[in-house]
Amino acid sequence: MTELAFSMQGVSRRFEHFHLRDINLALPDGGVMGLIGPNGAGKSTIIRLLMGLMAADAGQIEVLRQTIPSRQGNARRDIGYVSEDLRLYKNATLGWHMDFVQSVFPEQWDVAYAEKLLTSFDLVKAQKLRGFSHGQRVKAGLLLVLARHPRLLVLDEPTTGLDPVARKEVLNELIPILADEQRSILFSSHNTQDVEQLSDVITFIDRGALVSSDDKENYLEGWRRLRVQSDQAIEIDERIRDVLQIGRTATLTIQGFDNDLKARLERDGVSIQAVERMSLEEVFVAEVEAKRRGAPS
Amino acid sequence: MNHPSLVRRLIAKDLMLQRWPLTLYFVVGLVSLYLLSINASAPFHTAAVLLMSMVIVTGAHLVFSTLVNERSEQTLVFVLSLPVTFRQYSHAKVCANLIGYLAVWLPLVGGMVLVIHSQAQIPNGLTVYAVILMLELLAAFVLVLSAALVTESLVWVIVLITTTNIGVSIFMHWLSSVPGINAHMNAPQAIWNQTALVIIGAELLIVLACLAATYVVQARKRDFL
Repeated sequence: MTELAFSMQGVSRRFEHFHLRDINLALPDGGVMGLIGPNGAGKSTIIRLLMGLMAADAGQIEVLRQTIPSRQGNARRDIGYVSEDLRLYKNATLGWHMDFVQSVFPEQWDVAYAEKLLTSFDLVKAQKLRGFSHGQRVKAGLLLVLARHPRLLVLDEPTTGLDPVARKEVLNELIPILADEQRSILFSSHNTQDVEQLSDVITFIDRGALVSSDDKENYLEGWRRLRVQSDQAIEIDERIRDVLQIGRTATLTIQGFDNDLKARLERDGVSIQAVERMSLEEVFVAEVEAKRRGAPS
Repeated sequence: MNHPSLVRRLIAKDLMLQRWPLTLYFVVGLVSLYLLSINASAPFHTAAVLLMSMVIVTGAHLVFSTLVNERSEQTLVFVLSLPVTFRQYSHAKVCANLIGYLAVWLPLVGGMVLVIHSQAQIPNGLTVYAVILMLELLAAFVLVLSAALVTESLVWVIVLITTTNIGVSIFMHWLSSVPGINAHMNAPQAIWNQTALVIIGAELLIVLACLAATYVVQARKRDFL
């Protein structure tokens, strides 16, 4: 049986103006899950629930075989958590932070790797955090986490607000970690490009609910955009998820395009002009719009 | 890393980050003790105000730096990424603040008692009044510390610091009007009568009640952030 890095079953949490409801998610050991959703969708809430930083109203959460929140301390020993809003002590140097984290994780801290990360992130150990840019802060936060080799890496919008160079540096450091089958990663972002680059499994979330969760390849292979000509109005159904029609010309967003659907469309007098692959961002938007319309999944 | 060790690291972290401001307040406190020993009215009153100010500032600085700012400047997220439970976090904060505060408060109170007893011009009877007053500052600090932990609110901390500071003047006025205290302030010996002991007992009870309430409330909280 595959061991799970984490699992959430029927997890709900209600706030005054937001309701995260019935979240069912699981990530096998060694997997990389990208959590995609618009701002305010509930990505950070899911991560905080997983980290034990807040408690669920209902449902069960397990992280690294530890029940959350009751065993959160044990679980967090092997979790590396970096979020976009994480800040370090501005009056202390990066070296002080490294010494502090090393003192908390003396057996896990990898001195040589920490030094390597200092170089590849172009960070100065003796510099106080006060003088760090946002990009340097994010890289410093990642360094402090990566140098202790956590089994589960939880990254909450780590590339948000980074310039393209810093973003590439951060992603470059994450890519070798993906090859380590013992390490699992949960990566949240509203930047679908970053998630697409890193993740095996993609989870879409919108307005506090799970839209869908599947292998990245299934999304990319399953969705197509069709440029068509038709004299009749084309109706949305369980596979034609969106129709943009002006006169005879129409653009269809299709989930599960195959020869059967092609034949059906042609029988209905639809002339297919082009079949295009869709980016993950386009798939995400299509999934969310379909969900919001209440279309069958 | 076991739990006591992690809590100790968190306490050491806070004390390490606050070591220079605390040292500064302590040194200014020592200067005020020196001024207290000068046989003249103006330096004596200046020293008394300065001494109390340093004790008050120490408490306010600690609460703001280790609790309020940690939340507002989002360094709390860094601390919470460590394998620490909310109970351990709260315990570490209480300990760091008490240790930091008492590291300044105890020597200054001890020094103050020493100055009173070593200077012929200052009646030893004043010791009781001064110790009760310093204990009131300790109780006010613990009240603010508890409120900062429990409410996690900058506004509440500001309101309480302001209120307790105003309360110091009222407390001083009230204390000097209590017959059991007032009657012995100029006595050649410190008189630890029942009135003094009851007031001291009440102050210590406030300290313990605040700490107990803090642990109880923090243990019931569901969310870190």
